[in-house]
Amino acid sequence: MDERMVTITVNGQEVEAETGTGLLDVLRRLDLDIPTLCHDDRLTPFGGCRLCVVERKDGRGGMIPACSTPVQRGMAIETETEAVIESRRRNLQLLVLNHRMECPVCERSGDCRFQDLIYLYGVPEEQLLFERIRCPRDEDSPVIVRDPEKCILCGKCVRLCDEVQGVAEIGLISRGLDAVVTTMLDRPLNCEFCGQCVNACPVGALIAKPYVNEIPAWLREHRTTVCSCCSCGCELDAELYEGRIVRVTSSPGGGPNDGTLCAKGWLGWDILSNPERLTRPLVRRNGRLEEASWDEALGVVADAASKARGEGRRIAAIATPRLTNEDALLLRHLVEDGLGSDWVGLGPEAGVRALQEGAGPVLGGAFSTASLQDVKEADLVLVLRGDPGRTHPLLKNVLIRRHRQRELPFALAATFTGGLERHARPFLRLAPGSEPAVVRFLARELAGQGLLDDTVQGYREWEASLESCTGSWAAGVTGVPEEVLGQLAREIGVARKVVVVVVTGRGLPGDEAEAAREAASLVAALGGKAGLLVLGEKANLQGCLHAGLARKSPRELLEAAGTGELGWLYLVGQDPVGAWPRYLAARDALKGSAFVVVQDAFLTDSARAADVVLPAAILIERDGTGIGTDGGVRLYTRIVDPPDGVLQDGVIVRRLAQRMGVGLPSEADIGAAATGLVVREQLRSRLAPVGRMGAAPKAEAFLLDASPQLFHSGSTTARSSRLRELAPGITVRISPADAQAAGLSNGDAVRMVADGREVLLKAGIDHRVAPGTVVAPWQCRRDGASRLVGEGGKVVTVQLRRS
Amino acid sequence: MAEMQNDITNVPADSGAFGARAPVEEEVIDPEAYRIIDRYVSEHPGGQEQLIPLLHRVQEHLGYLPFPVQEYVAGKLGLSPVEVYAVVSFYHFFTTTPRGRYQLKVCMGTACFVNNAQTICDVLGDLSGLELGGVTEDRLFSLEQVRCIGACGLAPALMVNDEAHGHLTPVTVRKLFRKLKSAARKEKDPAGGEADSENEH
Repeated sequence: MDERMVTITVNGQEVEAETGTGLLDVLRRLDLDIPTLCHDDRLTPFGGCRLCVVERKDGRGGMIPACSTPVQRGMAIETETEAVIESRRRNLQLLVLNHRMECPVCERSGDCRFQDLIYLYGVPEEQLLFERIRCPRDEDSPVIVRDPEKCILCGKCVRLCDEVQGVAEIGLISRGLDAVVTTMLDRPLNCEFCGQCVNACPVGALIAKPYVNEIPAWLREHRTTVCSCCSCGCELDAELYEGRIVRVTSSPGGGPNDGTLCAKGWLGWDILSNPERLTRPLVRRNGRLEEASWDEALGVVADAASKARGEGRRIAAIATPRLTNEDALLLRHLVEDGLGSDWVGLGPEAGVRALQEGAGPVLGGAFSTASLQDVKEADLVLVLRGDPGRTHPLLKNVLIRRHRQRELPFALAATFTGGLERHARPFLRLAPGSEPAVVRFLARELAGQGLLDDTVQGYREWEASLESCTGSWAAGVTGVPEEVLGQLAREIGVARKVVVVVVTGRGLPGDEAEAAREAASLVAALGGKAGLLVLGEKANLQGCLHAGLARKSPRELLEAAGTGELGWLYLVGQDPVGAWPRYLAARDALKGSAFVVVQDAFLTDSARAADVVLPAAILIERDGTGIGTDGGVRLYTRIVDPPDGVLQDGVIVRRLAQRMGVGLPSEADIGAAATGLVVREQLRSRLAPVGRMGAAPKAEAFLLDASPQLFHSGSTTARSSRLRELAPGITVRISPADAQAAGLSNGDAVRMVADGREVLLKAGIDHRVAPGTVVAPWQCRRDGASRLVGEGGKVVTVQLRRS
Repeated sequence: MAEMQNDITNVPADSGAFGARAPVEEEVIDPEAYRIIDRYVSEHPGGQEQLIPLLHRVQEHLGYLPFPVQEYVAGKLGLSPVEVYAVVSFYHFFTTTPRGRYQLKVCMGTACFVNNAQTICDVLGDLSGLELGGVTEDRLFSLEQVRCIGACGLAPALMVNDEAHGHLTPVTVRKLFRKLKSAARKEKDPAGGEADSENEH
């Protein structure tokens, strides 16, 4: 018999279980209904509510909490004895005593674990032994209302905030009857507003303001889909009433996110009902965009295409990496097979170049080799370039859980951070753009110890090119002490499984392709024990790459447009004028194209300059498949209908093709091709010598951090008024020490200047900002920091002047 | 679009997450407290398991744990401020209200209790004008009741900072109180030497 298995007796029946398994898990596997209020599979056992008590009958008698008791050989458990039922009833009674019972008007009525149990165990609200403890509601926090008088102190919110989210904004303050869940000094919440606490609350003590409504739980329809705000692809449970979203949660154990969400996935869905949504196609008549029928608009687009082809001018399309696999394939078929042009571009969203130009040539394919599961299991994870907490919240949760629950470390090497550095072991604050130097040093060090696989193609030349990447050189370039770098190299050397994560995002310093190439080289040379995970920006970046949309770089296409080479430019979900860095001179490029058609949900800056605008469905209004940043398949299900007259991208492409007389593959063929896009087979790795690397520029002024800021990235998600309320607005945030030195106080108007350009912002003092750095939103609007960002991830230093 | 621009611009600088935080109420805190924390952390690497001993050390110096100090400790140990506040609020020993130069701690252990400790407490309350848990405006005295101090043979007893006084009667308590007051006056007198010598043991 397996040494690790033990036999226990449950309600007279013998059961086998692995040693160390929680008793509760074993009981639930037997389909026994053990009530809990404080237990959550994602958290370390707590044993607070005492509702999961069961009776032990094997001599070591008494009531034991199932959630925090590991199984032991010979245990005999009874789960439904009279004593057990009585104990649970008494514990419920104690909780009832200090709970404000307002079930008839409570938001959670009908969807309340506590209410269910009170009903099940028949606990009356009476026998008041003392006055309920009075405690004011917190209604000042953004988004969340906290009502301590309903709180049963299960502590799930506090533990999730700490163990899973890594924020610990709330704590259990004081003890006994005075205990209350609150923030430091009862201030309004100032956190990531991920909603984990609200969604886990078993009662109505935490309520989301946007989802306070009159629709009772039993009238809501439950639908599950995948969030497509970023490339994490988290599973969402939406509750709908008459086609309108009235609440969003996520179930533990469901998708890759295991019940966690971020502010975007939890709250951002008011984007869909934004009154600025386009609902009718627009056609330019006499210099003005006017509403038109689909028939007319598609006719104009088709005619323009045949005119361009007749004149021998180029046809081009640039797509957003948010397209579903199916829509991406249809678009490629239309442009390549139908219109005979291979000028199809993807991006410039972050991650395209990292995968295509960085990882691709080294690993033999433009995809990540590590999965989310690998990140969970690896002994060591090295995160390069950015804080996933700001760009990829799901990955941040995985890293926090590794660290907080299983003591598996992760290293973070980045210039700009957002709180994750507090948990990183070690954290290397790098000089901007110096990630390649860290990786080169690690590679040289590991090669020197003979820990790399020298059979990889090109190994010798690569190793030789690393000769000058010594510890003192790396320390000089990165600003990180040599001992710290050396220690990291040793840890990677002894680790049995390593994952290197390359974060991408707009405004992150340094060249993403270069960083990804160096990381991929190290991973390839480490052999089977290492994997690479590139975190791209938009939802289905990986699927769109596999679908072959990245044939040309968008930059090349815009340049061609600028020279008047293009006769027909199709922008699918792309807004080069509004959302791309200004150095690309997108406005001129659009002017230079003979005909521009924009397909988007909003009248973006590019749409304003277009000849035809086609309204498209976005996010959870679409059906299709996708591939998450971790390589896993995601199934997007339409759970909300797009506004009347708005069509999904693929449908528009099909109609356009029909209009042009172009034949496209059938639904079934496209479906099969989309499913086949998941590539897992890794080709042969090939290393190439590294190039020269200059030292990071000396920062004479502040480093500008315009990288994503969690609540919205400045384009689609910025259309959510809920998310805009949470984001700090057009504020340049500065550390307290720098503010003092510069004589700035909160709310001062400042001009942020770089290279002769300037934007006007308000100053905000924030202790989370590292000295020497200022954080400003990208925004892609008039006063966004994107106006100051130069070419290709170049480091921007800015000066602040009072205005 | 123009409207949206306004929306963004109108958000005040100190609103929203990751925005600036309102500063904690102004309070003059002995800068030595921060030096004590820095020194302690550099001498005791390890992180959060150092929290309780460090808080002891700081309270020993300041007499209480002001919130800015708690936030500073949190930053030093890689904790969030509320995690420190949770510990401080849980343990009876830690306090967030300032204590007096002389902390009068009347023992309420069984032996003292039956020997009229309440009377001792009342007399001190009358003399200082303090309620339990209070501190005089000049921060000279603070009054509190504590659990058994382990000096049952001296019941009723009280502690003045770290010093025990036993077999108290209303008369000896008055004497002790006057003595402390004049000692404080002497301290204030420049000729009386350095202030703050008593806390150093």
